[in-house]
Amino acid sequence: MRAEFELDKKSLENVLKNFKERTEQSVVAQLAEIGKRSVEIARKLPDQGGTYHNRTGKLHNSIGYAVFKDGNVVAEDFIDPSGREAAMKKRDGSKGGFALVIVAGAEYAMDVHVRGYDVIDSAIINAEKEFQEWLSQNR
Amino acid sequence: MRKTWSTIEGDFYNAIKQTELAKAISGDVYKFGIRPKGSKKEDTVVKVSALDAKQLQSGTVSVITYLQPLTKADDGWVVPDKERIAEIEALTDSLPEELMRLMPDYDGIKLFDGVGNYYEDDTEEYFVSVKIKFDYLTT
Repeated sequence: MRAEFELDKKSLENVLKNFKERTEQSVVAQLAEIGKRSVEIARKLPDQGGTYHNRTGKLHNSIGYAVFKDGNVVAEDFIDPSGREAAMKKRDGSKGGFALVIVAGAEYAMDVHVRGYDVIDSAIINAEKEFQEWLSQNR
Repeated sequence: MRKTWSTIEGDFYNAIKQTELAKAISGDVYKFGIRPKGSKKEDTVVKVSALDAKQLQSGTVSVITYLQPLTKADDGWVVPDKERIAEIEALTDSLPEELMRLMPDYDGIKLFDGVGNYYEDDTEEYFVSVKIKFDYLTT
């Protein structure tokens, strides 16, 4: 007694295509979650003890993230357009595969950063840790 | 046991005082907020910029060395001492290797970003700035 289940070439291609799409959606969702949690940390910093004076909220609001797939934005969270503009400039570096970009787009973000303040340091550290943890769980 | 903000500041302050950078500057090494106001010496300021509270504690420490301009012309034009800036940048760039040797209880010390030089309008000084990322495995 035996049973055979055949999968023709076209069906196999569909299975593989669906599998690839679901995997890619999962990668995007995971990177977006990491971006969201990391950006929340950075946006809360001034209220958690005042690492710098967030007088106008401009710097705070310029912090955001984008997830790129083959150079195109597939997920993002920005309050101020300056953040999105800064992330788009990083697009060239993420043309192949997936990339999570976290930015502070305000013109003076770097001025604050080089004077020793935490603009997105904590966000980057958190993203690195969560990314490595996710990779190690899925290898 | 986790390290506190002040403990980490003290660890880096004590270690940086023993580095080639500290030997090279005309002034002294200070914790953030302690540098004498109006100092015209080459001083290095150490500031903890970010710190998380995870089992592997990570954060950033800013190391900022202030440098006097080469000349100040009658018209107010300030000229940077490019040669001196380059010397201090090179010594700053090699800090992680020295700190790894001086702080063996830390699990990782590396540059968080590139060493750069900037101008401080208020005090008419140039400064060399870098952020150093550290990891410390709590017990």
